[in-house]
Amino acid sequence: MPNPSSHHTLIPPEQINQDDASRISRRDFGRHAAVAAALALSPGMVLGSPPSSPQESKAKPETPDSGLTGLTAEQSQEVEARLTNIIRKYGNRLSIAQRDHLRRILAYNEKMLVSIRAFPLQNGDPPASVLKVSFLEQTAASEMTEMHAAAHGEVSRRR
Amino acid sequence: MKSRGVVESEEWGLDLLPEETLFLSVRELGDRIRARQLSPVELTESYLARSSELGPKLNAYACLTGELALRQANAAEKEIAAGHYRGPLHSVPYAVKDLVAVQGYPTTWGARPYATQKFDFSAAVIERLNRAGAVLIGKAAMIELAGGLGYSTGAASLTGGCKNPWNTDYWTCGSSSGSGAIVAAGLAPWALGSDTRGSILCPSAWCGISGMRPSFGRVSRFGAMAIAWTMDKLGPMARTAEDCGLVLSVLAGHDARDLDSLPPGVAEFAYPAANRAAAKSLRIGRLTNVWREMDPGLDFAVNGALKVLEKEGARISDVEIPDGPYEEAAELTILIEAASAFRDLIASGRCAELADPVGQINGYASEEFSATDYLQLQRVRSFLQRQIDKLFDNFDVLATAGQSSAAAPLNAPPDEDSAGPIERRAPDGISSLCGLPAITVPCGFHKDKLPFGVQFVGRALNDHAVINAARLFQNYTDWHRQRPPIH
Repeated sequence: MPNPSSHHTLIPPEQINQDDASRISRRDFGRHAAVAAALALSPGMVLGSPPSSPQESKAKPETPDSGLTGLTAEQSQEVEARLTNIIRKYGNRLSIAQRDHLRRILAYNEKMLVSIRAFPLQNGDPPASVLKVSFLEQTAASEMTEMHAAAHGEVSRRR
Repeated sequence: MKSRGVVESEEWGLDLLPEETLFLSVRELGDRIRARQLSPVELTESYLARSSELGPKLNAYACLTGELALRQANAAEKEIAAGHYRGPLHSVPYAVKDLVAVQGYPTTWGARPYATQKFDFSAAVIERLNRAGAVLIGKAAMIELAGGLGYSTGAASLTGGCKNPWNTDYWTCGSSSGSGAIVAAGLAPWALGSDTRGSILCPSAWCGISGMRPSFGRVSRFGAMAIAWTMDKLGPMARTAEDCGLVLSVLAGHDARDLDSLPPGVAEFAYPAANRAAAKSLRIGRLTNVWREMDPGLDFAVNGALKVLEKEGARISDVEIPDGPYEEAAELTILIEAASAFRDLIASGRCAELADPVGQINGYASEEFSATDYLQLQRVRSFLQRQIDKLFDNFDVLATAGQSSAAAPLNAPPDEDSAGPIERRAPDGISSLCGLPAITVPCGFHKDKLPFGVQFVGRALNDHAVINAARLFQNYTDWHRQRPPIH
């Protein structure tokens, strides 16, 4: 969605409690561990979508693994490489439990990628997101809209 | 104007309209306002009073915009009294999901890092609604970042878990949680929601209201929070399918500020359509392979709904979604685009302030996808889009349940969806991935008195088809007239 980022008003960084944001106290560690245990089977919910019903969830077997089950050795290596890269960049922000949780998220993402990567495509098959030359048409339409607004005494602002 | 049948509110010291009036549809309210049987100011005051009383019990609002609402209602009342009637939304109150910018009011995106965020302009949809003379009474609560960085429970919101008006121990679903609760509880006749992958349809189904996701590109998203540019949509949540059509006719239209906006002449949506299809010509494909599991009572309710339509002349036949990685493509697209949309939040580490443990870290994982993988999945997406489009050569709409179950308890354990097998053909994923219009309307109740919904999905740009199917069903049923036991 188009949204001018210059208008964002985040809470000032100085208001962030650094203990909460980066350091892990013993109490926090215990809390994260408990959360991680609870989320052992929830490597990362579908984004922008509702969770499935708990009735469905309860039907699934509880198998506390790293999420790598079902991946080939090569795919598991890719997961570990990605986790290593995350820890290199953001390791000081992540608890042990969160790193384990991230491994499960990465493993799930890898499983989704398998079918996408294996999908047969030809060189000429284009992506759904392509540059549209209709930008010029849109500009023209925008100008027409402004002319229309001006003709009707409306105020038009560019943002 | 003075309305008939008013009751007194001790808290507000006002004469308030009776509850049955507040549960009227947009069409019915508009007709009474136009005929000057209903005062816009009294109507607004009544919704505000009810929202003040019941909104906090449901965690339904991020904030009320009472001052603005009364100013707009007073202006509308004067205009209408002077004979200037702008259209079906003139002076009709509504709420807007708190990811849409409204000048002068906080726009929190439901998330702590943006709790004090304000924009110095209003979103395109607000501009359109202002021109239509609609009255904004509040900003609806939502799941943080509309689930943009993931979430695992209904509690993942700056305003707390949103409670279902049908039973406050149950959740509304998300991410348009507040919009669903507000309409279901009679706090406003309609509310604006957003839908990237099911966030209008699920709350509408679980709250027992009519909710529509328009075709991709029909409604401008300028000034609304982005999750995934190629999948985000804004749409109406209301009492009836007809109301969804009326609201969409105001919201729809080209906007050059949204690069995915449909071109002029295509984006607009006239309602009702000039050539309304007769029931006899309606071809409905009953989807038989989209849910891994479904509540048996819901299956019965959906089949009952289709029988109603069949009796009225519609032709029903079973159809299967062809195999393909729809869900994978939808979810990966959202993951990757959200990592870009929320890049600043992820880089700053302030995602740690999100309420949900998934949202706190998920962005780090999403940054690891490659550009090649993203383009590969967008190429696969084009193929899947064509594959689904072919289904509509034989059907006007595809039908299935709004969701696979009734509402879940608010205190349910964290979602474990991603641990199981991928539900490749979930209809929300397919239709969102392909930008298709869809609507869900109430069609019955679970044994625990929680609503069920039936969903209709149409070909891209054929928004009329889904509204017509749902409207036809509502012409012969009264599930949409049921009210939750909340006072």
